[in-house]
Amino acid sequence: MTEKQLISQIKQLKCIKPRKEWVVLSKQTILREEPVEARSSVFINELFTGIRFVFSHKYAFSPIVAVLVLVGTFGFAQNSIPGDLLFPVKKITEKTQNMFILSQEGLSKRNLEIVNKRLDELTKVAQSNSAKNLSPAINEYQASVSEVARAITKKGVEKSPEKVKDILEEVKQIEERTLGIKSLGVEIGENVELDTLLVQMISGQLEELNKKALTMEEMQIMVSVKEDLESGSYAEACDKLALLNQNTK
Amino acid sequence: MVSYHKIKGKIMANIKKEFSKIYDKYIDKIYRFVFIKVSSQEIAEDLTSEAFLRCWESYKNNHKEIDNVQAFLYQIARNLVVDHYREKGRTQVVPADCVPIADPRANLEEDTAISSDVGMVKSALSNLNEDYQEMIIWHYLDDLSVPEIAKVSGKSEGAIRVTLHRALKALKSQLGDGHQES
Repeated sequence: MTEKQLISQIKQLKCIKPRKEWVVLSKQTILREEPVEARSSVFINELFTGIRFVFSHKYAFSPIVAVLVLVGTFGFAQNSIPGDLLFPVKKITEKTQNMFILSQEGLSKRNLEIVNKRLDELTKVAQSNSAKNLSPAINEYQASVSEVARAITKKGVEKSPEKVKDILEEVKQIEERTLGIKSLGVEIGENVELDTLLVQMISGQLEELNKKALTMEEMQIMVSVKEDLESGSYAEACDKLALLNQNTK
Repeated sequence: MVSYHKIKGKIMANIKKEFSKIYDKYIDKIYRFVFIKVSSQEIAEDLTSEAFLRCWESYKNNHKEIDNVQAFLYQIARNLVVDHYREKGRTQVVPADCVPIADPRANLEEDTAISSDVGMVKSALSNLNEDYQEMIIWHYLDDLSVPEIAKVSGKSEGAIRVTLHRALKALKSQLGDGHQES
């Protein structure tokens, strides 16, 4: 027998094949689905094991849970708007943060940030037409503006043109945003404290400028500032003062 | 949000799908490999099922670690056959003509002649030592190349070539003896 014949005889053994029914049955047996009940019972067991673990360590878990609840409450409160249940929590957080600010400049900056926050909330309320939140939002805004005015008054009205320029710039931004909200149809009303502060600061600046030698053009601007001051257009007056301060530097 | 069980179920379904393809691809080869060694349809079916079941258990848990499924399956089947003979404590010898061999040919005369030839080859193959048997089955029946056999058996390619040559010689001599006897 040649090698070729032998190999061809070996290859005939390829006709050895398993029974088709057995092949199908065996595959089904191997890959059969795990019963659904078993799977769900595994989940229930895992759940109960977890609950049991928490309860057996309740003393260790209670401070953790308290901290989590507190963190969660403070976290949620950050998205609240005036009139919401969690808004007082948000205010407490802000006040607590203020306690850690030591410098006067930092505090002024922080107060202005809070005013901007209140303005954001007021815009949100105005845009969502939420009637119940409108009045508290206006009150909160007015309170925050008064806070800014009080803080500035407390440290004395600035005489230095550089600092006055910065304060006026910030106040101008508040005025502009307030006008934007008014354009949405919200009646905010005037803030006497802020207006008084502005009048004081603008008048102080005008006095300082009077002492300097001014050109004709600068004198004209100063007259225009006085007119704005009398007509209550403080934002325009601030703009013109900034221009004058820049020229007379 | 998709639940953990749904994701797990989806992953398992994909693994099952992959294994189903593996099963279809190798079931004939593994069955034949076991059958030639044990010469019993019932035992071959049991051992082949067990081999695939063990492979599935490993595959579903860490299929990424099995880089050659074919080699893995042959290894399990080989170990199962060894265990089977160890348990029995003897080699089961079944007369070649008792072995049921499926063949689609309808011609009875031709069928008988082929069955007789195939039976003789099978019987001769069963008388060879394990190494020779496996080399012949893998190379000539399962069409595995020499490098593939090297992977499955863990031997060098050179050793495989030498063993194959010797295995053929041994089988030829077995058949020659059989022919002379008949």
